[in-house]
Formats: sequence, C-alpha cells, structure tokens
Amino acid sequence: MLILKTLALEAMHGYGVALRIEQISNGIFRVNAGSLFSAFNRLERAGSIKAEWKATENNRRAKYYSLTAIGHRTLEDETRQWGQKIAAIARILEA
Amino acid sequence: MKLLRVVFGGIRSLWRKDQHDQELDEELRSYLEASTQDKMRRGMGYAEAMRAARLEMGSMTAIKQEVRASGWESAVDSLWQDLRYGVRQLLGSPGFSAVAILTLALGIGANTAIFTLVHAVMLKPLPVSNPEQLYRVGDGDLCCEWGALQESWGIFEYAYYKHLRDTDSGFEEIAAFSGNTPSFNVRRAGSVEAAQTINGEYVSGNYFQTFGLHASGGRLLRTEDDQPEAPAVAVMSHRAWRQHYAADPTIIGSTLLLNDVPVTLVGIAPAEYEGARLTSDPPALWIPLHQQPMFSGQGTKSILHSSGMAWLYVVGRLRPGVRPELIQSRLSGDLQQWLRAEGRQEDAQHQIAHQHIQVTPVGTGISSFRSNSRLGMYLLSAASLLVLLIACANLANLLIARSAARKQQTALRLSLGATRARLIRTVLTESVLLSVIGGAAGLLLAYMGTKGILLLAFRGASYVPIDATPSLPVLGFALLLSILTGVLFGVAPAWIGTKTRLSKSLRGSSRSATTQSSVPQRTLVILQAALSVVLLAVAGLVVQSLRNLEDVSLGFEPEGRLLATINFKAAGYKPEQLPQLYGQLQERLGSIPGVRGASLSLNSPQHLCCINLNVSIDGRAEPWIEDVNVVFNRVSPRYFETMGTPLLRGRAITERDTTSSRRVAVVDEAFARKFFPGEDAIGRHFGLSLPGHAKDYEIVGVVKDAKYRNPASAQSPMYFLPFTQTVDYEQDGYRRLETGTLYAYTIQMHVAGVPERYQSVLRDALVSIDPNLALINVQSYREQVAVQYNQERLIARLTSLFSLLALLLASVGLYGLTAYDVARRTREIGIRVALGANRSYVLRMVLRGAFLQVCIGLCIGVPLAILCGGLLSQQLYEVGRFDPLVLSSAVSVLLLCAMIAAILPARRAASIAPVDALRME
Repeated sequence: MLILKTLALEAMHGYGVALRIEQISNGIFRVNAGSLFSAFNRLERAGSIKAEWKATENNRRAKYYSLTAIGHRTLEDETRQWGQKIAAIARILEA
Repeated sequence: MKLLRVVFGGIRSLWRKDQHDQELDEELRSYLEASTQDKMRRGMGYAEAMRAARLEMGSMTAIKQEVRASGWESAVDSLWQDLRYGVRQLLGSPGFSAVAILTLALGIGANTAIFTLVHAVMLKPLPVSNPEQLYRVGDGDLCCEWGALQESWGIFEYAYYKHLRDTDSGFEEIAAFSGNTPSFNVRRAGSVEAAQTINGEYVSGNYFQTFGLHASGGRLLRTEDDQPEAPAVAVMSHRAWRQHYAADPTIIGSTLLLNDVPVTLVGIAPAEYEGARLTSDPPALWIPLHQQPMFSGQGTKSILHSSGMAWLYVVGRLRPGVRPELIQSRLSGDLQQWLRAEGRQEDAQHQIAHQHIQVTPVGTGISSFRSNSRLGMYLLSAASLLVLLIACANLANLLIARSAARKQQTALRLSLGATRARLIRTVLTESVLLSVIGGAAGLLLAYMGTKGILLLAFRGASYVPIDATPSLPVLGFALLLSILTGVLFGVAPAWIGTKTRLSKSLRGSSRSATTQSSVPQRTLVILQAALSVVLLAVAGLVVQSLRNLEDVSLGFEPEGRLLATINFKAAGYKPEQLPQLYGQLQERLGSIPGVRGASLSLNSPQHLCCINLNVSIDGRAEPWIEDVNVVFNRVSPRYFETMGTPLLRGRAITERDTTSSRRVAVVDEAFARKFFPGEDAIGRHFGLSLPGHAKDYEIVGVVKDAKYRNPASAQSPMYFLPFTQTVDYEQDGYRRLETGTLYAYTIQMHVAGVPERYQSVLRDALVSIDPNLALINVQSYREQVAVQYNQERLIARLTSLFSLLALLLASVGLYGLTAYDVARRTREIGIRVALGANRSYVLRMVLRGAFLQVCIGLCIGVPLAILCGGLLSQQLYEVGRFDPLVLSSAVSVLLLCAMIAAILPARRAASIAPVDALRME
C-alpha cells in the first residue's frame, strides 16, 4: 500500500521509492532492497504497477515504476480497508 | 484475469530466465548507484558512499533469491531441479535403478494384468446405453433347453416371456434372447462361395431397442420383424461383417441363405456390441424369435411353440424409481401362479412353492466365465497383490539402504542450510520418478501378459470378446498404484535418512563398530520370506488340485481319439433321413485306413453336456426317484468301443436295435447303483417320469461311469439310447425333445497314430457323402479334455508364476540386505579376522544373520499358509487343508533360495583381507 501510495504521485525508480517512504515517514519505515524488489515483482505480476526503462535526472538508465488503473483501484480499496481497521483498533483501544 | 496474469508472468520469467535475471541485475545496480549518489550529495566521498550503500543494501545474491522466490515459478524451478537431479542420480547408479525398476515393473505388471482381466470380465459395462438400468429376470447360467423346475429361475419358455411382456412387470421394455447360440451355414444368395459357419442368437423384436443400440449400417430389428408372418430378416455383428465380408456395404439389404433358408440382412449392429453374454465365439447373427420355426420345423417341432421347455434369457430396462427387490418378490409369486396354471400338476405343489426369481443387474453382461471363475479371480488378485507387496518391500529396502549410504552427504547438506523438507522432496521426486518408470514398464508387461492369459483362458476358442488393451480405468489403476508405492516407500526412507544427528554422521559411519542394518529393513525381509512361503504353499495346493483333476479316471480313453462336432440339422437333414445317413457315415469312416472304430453320439464326454431329466422306475413309487437328476445321451452302435468305455455287463447298443425292435437302454454304473442297489439292473424297465411311461426302456447293458462333465462337479446317473428308437409322448416339449435328440452332434474316431493327422481324411470322407456336411470343429480328444481344465490350469500356472516371482523378489531382497550388511561391516570383519577369526567363522556369522530373518519369516508364514490352505481346500479338487508335502517343499524351496542369496555375500565377507578392510577410509 505504501509503495502504491508513493507511486500514485509520480513514476519512480526503486531507490526513489525507498527514499520517499523513508523521508515521508520521518525515517520510521526503512525499506530494505530485498523486500522492495520482491514487492515490485509481486505488484507487477498482479498488474497494479508497470515498469519501463527510462533515463534518470542524471542520465542513467533506471527502471521506472508507475501505477496502472488496477493499481489505482487497489490503492483505493486498501486505503479504505486500512482506514476501517485503524478506526476499529482505535475504538477498541478507547473502550 | 488476475490469476491468468500471474500464471503468464511466471511462465514468461521461467522461459526467459536469463533475461529476467539480467534485468534484475541491472535494476539492482542502478539502485546501488542511486543510493551512492544520494549519499555523495549529502557530503560523503565516493568510496565511503559506495561502501555505505553496499552495506545498506546487503548481499545482492540474497536479494535476487528473495525476489525470485516471491513468484510461484520458483517452486516449479526447484521441482525441475529435483527432477534433473533425480534423473542424474538414477543414471549414476544404473544397477540400482535397473533392479528397482524391474522389481516395480514385475509387481505392477502382475497386478495390472490381473486387474485388466478382472475389469474386463467382472466390471466392464456392456457397450449399451445406460447399462445400470438393465436387469435380468433370473440368475445363473443354465443354458440351452431346460425342462425341469429350476428353483432359482434363470431361463424361461416363450409363453412366459410373452406373459411378462404383456403384463405390467415394472420394466419399461423387456426383451428375450435364446440361451444357446446355434451355428448357421451362411451363404450369399446366388453365389457359389463356400458357406461360412456363423453363430446366431434368436432375439425378441425389441431386443436392440431394450439395450438402446443403434445400427452402424442399415437398421436393427424392430417389433414388426418378430411376427409370425413377417418377412425373414437378420442383423449381423460388426465383427462378422468385417471378418467374413470385408465390411462390404452392398450386403446390407441383400439376401443371405441361412441353412438354405433365404433371409434378408437388414443391418449391422454397432461395432462394439457382441451380445449380452460374455462367451468365447459370441453370436454374430441376431434373428427374430418367430423365425425359429423356419429353422427347426413348424408347429410343435419348434421350441417357440412348445410348452415346458425353457430356452430364453429375459432382460429388461427397469422403470426409473422402481426397486428391483420389489419386482423380485412380485415376479416370484407370478411365476408360481403361472406354473400352477400351466398344469404342472405332476410336480408336487410343495415344489412349486420353492420356485422363485431373482432380479439381477446385468449391466456388465451375463457370463458363465464370471460365475465359474470368481474364486480364481480372487485368488489371482490376492497373489498378485502379494507379489506387489513383496516388490514394494524390496524397493523400500533398496531406498533405505541407499539413504543410509548417503547419510554423510545428507548430513553435509543439512549443515549447509538445506531444509529437511527440501531434502525429503528430493528423495521423493527420485522415488516417484522411479515408480513412474517402473509403472510404465509394468504396463507394457501387463499388456503382453493379459494377451497371454486370455490365450490360455480361452484355449481352443477362435475368438474371445475380451480386449487385452488396458482401458482408461486400468491405466489409472496402474498409475495410481505405481505413484502410491513410490510415495509410500519413498517417504519413509527419506524421513529416516534425514533424521540423523549431524555431528555423528559427519564424523564418519565406519568408525562405529557393529552398525547393522536397521529394524525396518529386517522386518521387510521377514515379511517377504513369510509372504513368499504363503504364496509358494498356495501355488503348490492349486497345482496339486490341477494334477488331481487331470489324473482322475475319466472312464474313457482320450488317447488316440479324434472328436468332431457337426450339425446335421444345419446341413438340411430331416429326422427320417438320419438313421440311413449314420449307417453310411459309420461304414465310410470305418473303412479309412488306420481307423479302428468310428461312432456318433448326441453328447460326448467333456464336450457337450447334458440333457437333464427325471425318470421313474417300473413298479416303484418311492418319491425320491423322481427327484434324482438323470442325464441321457443317444449313441450309435460301437460307441462305447470307440470311446474306450468298458462294458461291464450285458450288451452295448447295436445295429439290431431298430425302430421296430423293443426299446432298449444301456445305463452306467451310477444309474444301476442308485436305482438298483445290490440287484441286477439287466432286464429292468424305466422311463421318463411321466404318467404311463415308467416301462418304456429295458436295460440291456451296464457300462463303466465316464466323466461327462468337469470331474469336480457332481456326476449324475446316465442312460444311453439308440438313435433309432423314440417314444411317442403327448406333451409338446417331450415330443420335440425326442426328435431333436435324433441329431447327432459329435463324431468319435479311434485311430492308429497321431489323431490330428486324420482331420483332413475325415473332412474328405464327409464331403464325399454330402458336400453340405461341414465340420464345425475337430480336435484330438486329448486336447478336448485339456481345454476343460483351462481355468484350473490358468490359475495354477499364474499362481505358480506369481509365487516364483515372489520367491525371486524375496531372494533378491535377502541378497541385497546381506550384501549391504557385509559392506557396512567390512571394517568390523577385518578386525575380527585380524584378531584370529577364520573364514568359516565369518561365513557362519553372516549366514546366521541372514537365516535368522528367513526363519522368523517361516515361523509367521507357515501358520498363515496352513490357514490359507484351509480356506482354499473346499474350492480345490481333493486337496486337504494341510498338505505336508506341499508345505515342506515350499519351505525347502525358500530355504534353498535363501541359502543361495546369502552365501554369495557371505563368501565375499569371508574373503575380506584384514589389511584392506582396516585401510579403508
């Protein structure tokens, strides 16, 4: 979900995604490369993201991942479910 | 959709594995680079940034592994690896693989062959629509013509069938077909070709409709065809059409001459259909019931219109929702009522109350082979299963030995981080691979085996309607069996193999002094020995039974005799012409050089049998007399002489017994003993048990008992009549019986030299009298008798074969285990020899170990064998439940084989040089 959210804004390459997640979460989530690429592989299989080789800002080749229509839908679904879960947990904790 | 993408993605990455890998490599590199640059931007030096990035990222290979494992294809990939590894392993030890595959092939082959047979004979449905709805009215395999009460009825007369058809019997459609398959001389009208002999079957007009069959050419029979005035038609089987007429389509609708009666062939039956009965030489012509009089004579000469003679099987399609048990009781009541109404008053009323009908499912066809050979089938199935069990034990032993040999390797792998599951999977893949190959080989073996078995089972038949090709269920059975054995006997050794203490295994197994083979291995060998001795003993009993059967005194002499089957009725003779023809024939045949005697008869021992009747003895009213089943036969002069049946008293039937002389009969010893115990039978009178017929025949001679039927079945008293004399009965059925039995069906010749050499002379002699006289079958009497024991011989041979197989496998197993033991104990033996043990001590030590297992096996096996013998003895012929000779020979054969299997490795052990043994490792 986090990867999808990150990619929802713009197409990015692997390191970019890792960096963005780390930055936004203020360093709480550090994604290691193994999990990241496994996740990419899984998401690509599921059709949520698609990849293409592009030149980076400093003219290197890198694989850029972007969200597909399915990915957008999945993101919406998962965000909603996550919200519900959080709310439920919060209610339990408050009770 | 999503699933599809996952699948395709996986396949793509499997397919282009290298490309996928490369891309991942490049991506990871670019990640590393981006990370490095990011760090440099934050002020690190290149080298430092690089190091930090590397550190952060971790091992590139590990990441790649992780990514790869995230898809399903990795499982396939590792399976593929396992498979390749398995094949390499198998190829690496060809000796082991060959033994294992051969063992499995034998076990599975034996089982598949037997299952094919069981399936074909017992389980395979008829090729008709919805066979499960078909039920037969009645059971048993009475055939041909039956005049007496049957108790459990299986065969009916036409009038009763008509009664069933026209009353509401719970059947949607109910058909009848004749119990026997008369042979016809078939020729195309207007052609001069030689007549073909084709078996036919009389069927009711709705026969094909009831079975739900459709013609493969032309049309099948309809209800309109089965009417008294309907034009004569017939339907031919697809096989006969192909075989005799090369599938010529112009024959459909043309006129055929059946026994010189013109009949229109209206169609060809579906290709698979060979009649509702499983017999050798099945019917190939189906003729409406109402045409029967055309071939047998009109009016009461025909069985169709005569009452009291049962000759039809009745099969119906049950109405949906109707329970067969309900119909059964209703039909039984109906039958009793009908019998009473038919005026069978001469049969006591209490007997009629015992008459009943069973409604039996008939979806797999009616088979006398099935009911006769049920025991044999069970026996063979059990034997083949035992063989498989022994084969599996061998395989398991081989695998255990191998996994033990690989212990160090396994330990190494485990310590390098391989998971136990993965290791078990590797071994499992290997054993499944083995078992699949073994199964395939077994299937091939089974195919050839089944063909051989069928050849043996139906020896003397020109065609058998049972297919030897393994069908789909059989293939499934074999596959399941082989995979099951593979998994079952592969997992256990793998489990044991991976349950090792790493440090101990790595240190080297040869250090430990007396590592012996494991308990499971010993248990398996004990089991093998026990099972083989059981099989050997059972096979011994079955063979003994067969020998008893073959040694039985037949009461006639099969050596130097020729037996021919002929159909004078089909050749167009009228009863009045027969006496003259017989005389002429006997004279002609007797004059052939080398022929010592020739005769004719209605039935012949071990061939066609029998017409069963009840008699009454003149002047005696004891009720038991009427209940005795008596068999009757008609014979020509010089019959007993030709057959070699000794005449004990009085005279035989001669030419002087003519139509005008007094009616005479010759009886056998059993007849005389039964009805005239302690008296002289000569000169006494008897007749059929009909009012006023008690003194029709005068007994003029007594002959020795001859075995007309299978010696194992009960023999009935017999009497013999001349062909020339008949009794005038009032009842239709008996009148027909009298004229019908005037036709002789067999010719016997006593010849000098090899009987088979006279076949062509016999044919020539017949043709010289009348070109229409074709022999249906001719063979030596020795062969005819041998054919009677087909099933017994088949079962005896197969059980012997299986027991030898079991013995072989058990010996191989024992050899393997002993050899393995010796190999493992090389060091120990070396030390013993170095310390002064001599050769004979080592030899004895190894032999003792091997024989201990065999002896324990015997202790289990012998009581088991006696138990099996007890179960079987009732079914076998004159074999006791405990035959010490058979049992002791089984035990000694096993001991001998064990000796051979153990002595080879023992000798090797004895020849171990201590220096070599100690220098090992």
